[in-house]
Amino acid sequence: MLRYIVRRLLWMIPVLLFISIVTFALSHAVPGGPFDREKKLPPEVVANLEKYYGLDKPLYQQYLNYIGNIVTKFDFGPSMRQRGRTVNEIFADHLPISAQLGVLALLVALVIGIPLGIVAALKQNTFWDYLGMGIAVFGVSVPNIVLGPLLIWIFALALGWFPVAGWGKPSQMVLPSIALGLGSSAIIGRLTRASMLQVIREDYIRTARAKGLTERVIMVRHALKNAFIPVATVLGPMFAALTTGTFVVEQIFAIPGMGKYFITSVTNRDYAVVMGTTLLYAVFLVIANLAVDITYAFLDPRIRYT
Amino acid sequence: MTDLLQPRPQRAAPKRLWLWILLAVLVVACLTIACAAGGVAWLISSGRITLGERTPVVATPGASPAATRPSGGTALDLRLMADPPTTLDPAMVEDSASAEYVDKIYSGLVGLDEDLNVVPEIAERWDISDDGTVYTFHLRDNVYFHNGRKATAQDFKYSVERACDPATRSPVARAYLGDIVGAEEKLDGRAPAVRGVEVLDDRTVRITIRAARASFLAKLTYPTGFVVAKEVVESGSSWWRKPVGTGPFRLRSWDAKQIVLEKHDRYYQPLGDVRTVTFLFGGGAPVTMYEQGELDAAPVGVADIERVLDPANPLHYEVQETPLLYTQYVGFNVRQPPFDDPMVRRAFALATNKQAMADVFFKRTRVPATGILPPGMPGYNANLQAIPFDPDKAREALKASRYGGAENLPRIVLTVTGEGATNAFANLLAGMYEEVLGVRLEIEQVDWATYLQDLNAHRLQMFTLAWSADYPDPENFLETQFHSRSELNNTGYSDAEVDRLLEQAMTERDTATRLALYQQAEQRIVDDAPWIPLFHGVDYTLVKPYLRGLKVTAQGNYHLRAVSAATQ
Repeated sequence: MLRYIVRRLLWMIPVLLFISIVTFALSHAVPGGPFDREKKLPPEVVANLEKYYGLDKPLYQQYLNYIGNIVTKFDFGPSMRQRGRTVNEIFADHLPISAQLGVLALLVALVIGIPLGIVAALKQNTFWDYLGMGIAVFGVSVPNIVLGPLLIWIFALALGWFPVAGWGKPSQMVLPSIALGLGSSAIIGRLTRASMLQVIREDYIRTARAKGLTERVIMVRHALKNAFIPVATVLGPMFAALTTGTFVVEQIFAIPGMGKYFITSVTNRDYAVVMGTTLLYAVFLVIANLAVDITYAFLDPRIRYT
Repeated sequence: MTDLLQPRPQRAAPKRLWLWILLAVLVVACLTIACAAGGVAWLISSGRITLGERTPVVATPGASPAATRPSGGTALDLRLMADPPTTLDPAMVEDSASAEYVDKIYSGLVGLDEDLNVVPEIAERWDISDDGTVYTFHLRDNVYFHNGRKATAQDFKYSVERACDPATRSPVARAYLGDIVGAEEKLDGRAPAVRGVEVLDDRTVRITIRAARASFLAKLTYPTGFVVAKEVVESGSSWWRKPVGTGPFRLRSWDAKQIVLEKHDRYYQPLGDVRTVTFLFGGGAPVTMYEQGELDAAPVGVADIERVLDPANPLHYEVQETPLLYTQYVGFNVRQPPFDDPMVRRAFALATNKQAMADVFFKRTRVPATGILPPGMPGYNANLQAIPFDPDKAREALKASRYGGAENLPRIVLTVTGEGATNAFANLLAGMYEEVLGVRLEIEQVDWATYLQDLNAHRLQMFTLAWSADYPDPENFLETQFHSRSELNNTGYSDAEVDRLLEQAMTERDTATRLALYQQAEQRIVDDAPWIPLFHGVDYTLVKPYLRGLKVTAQGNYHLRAVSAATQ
């Protein structure tokens, strides 16, 4: 197992290098640069800035310097838009907030999604199934750009239970977590249902019943554990997507997270930030997927890694 | 037998219990969603709630509850919303988000009052030589930095030379300080000091500019000319994270969520009652937060404007309207066909129904423009002869052009940038020109950086953009945009008479004569139509009735110096 993990971690290196090369090439290939302004900067000023940020060097040189700084100093470079701010500082300031929101949203998704799926599966084709899946279809269909304001309207304005926006106090975390998590809970719910339906028809469940195990033990230890494998698979990418910043929900609730840096860095051609956010997402994704693969081994003893 | 039968009831009971728990969770979840949605509908239809009127505060004229309602004493702790700054180093400021804070933390020799007049700041008065090139500033005796040190003329000289130092890499120093003798040499690294700034004594500084330029004082009000403390700047490259200035407010804290400023007690002029002001960063729904009492003032966006301005909504008593110094326009590349033909430009201008667009599309958040200068700008001409909306004359003009009508026009591409709303606006323009002139425009939407690059390279044929003033002087609109040799002349417009008027105005020292020259130039440009001026901006901001003197400046920032608690 340990060897497997180490090997996977080593594989991250070529994967990330490949992603960084593609991102670097693409971001420099699109027209426009970080110093294009509506009020055009004088050419002397642009030349001075480009020299300082090393943009006057050949592209391969720029790339090598960039990677070199990450490897030797863990320095992801300076933001060219927010003068004097580094990408490391942007991560330090905003990533913890996005990560908090993402983890809470994932909890919401699991707490709503899994019971929903289980009930729907156990009570297949009954009122409860239809209700649960109705909620799931609602969750998937309503984008969080609609759900966010709707939640604000109901729970902040009409009922006054929570503040309208902001981040920090527990009361401020409830609505954004739900707005972000509900869509994912619907995906988890549907997946749990489908997978439960398949699993409870398996022979080993019949065997367990025949052995006289209690229904609870059958469901939790045998059915749910196996049914959880497809769910765990989507949890990896879901975790990476939710925790690295979500533009819409963060904007709606005025949460100072990473989300807007994914968008504005591209608009501003802020090369180091584009690279930083992309690599951040890639690292999260690769690690989350590794974690998923490791949990497989616990969920299904037949899965072994060597 | 009993042994075999026994497990059955035991097995059934936990199964039920477990299912019931699941069901309970589900039911609660469903009920919250279903009931809340239904409940809101009921609450609203039964008149229990009206947005904006919840929990009225007892016996006050205000329509919404207070966030930090002043109690007894007058010290105010304001909560506002603003964008985070990109920098708090005055030499580097090129965006209004940063200017919001830099204007409060620092100050320069001169500043602007609410009506955009140049007023004394660190300098209490100044003399200008007869030829208009030598400015002698007399500084106040009671100017202190936030760290307690007294600020002198040396500090101003240091600040200018530091802004012009190539190592500072200021993107704006050349534009705002470049008039000073020796500034360009310093910027290019050819001189160790800026010759034109001389310290006569601790309280007197003399600035020599290269040629008389009436807008020099207005340019000095821009943050690039603000005073910084040498010992702080030299303390390390991130000194501006803990800035020290001479302005009315000092930085208390700055994190990812907010900036908190507090009153600078040794500021050299009387201040209002603001003790602290918290700027919450970005996003959210400011109007809703204002209604909930979470903010003391809030900008009103297009989404909320109709609701807020509705006379039936008590919020409309709390709205302040401020004209902003910007003009949105359609620009033509006058060096390319078909817009090198003035009659084609005129036809498009005559076919533009600004009033309808402002009313319907922008819901009154824009004012139709007649000329180029926005109201509020010195030299704004209320009597300007605008090109009116006149479909018949528009078609006649197109017939009189060298194309003789819509069918012979070459392909015309209107390039726009931005997200959905811009696209809708471009469609609106295209629909209007097709309806009135029978011209089919192609719309090309590109992202911002590409757009700017193409614009600056004069590759766009027809485009729509807005220009906002950096300093309140007509020069900042007319000369930058329309002088044939200006770097920022995006249309390629070139007219000898306009150039002559602009150059004459640049050095004219009599304000009335100077503004008259600008008005002449503006009229000529409007008639020639390299731009179709569309709209001027208007800012709508909600301000709680328990505050007096909270204003939004024409540059869109909060003016907080004179804020006091309203007496009831």
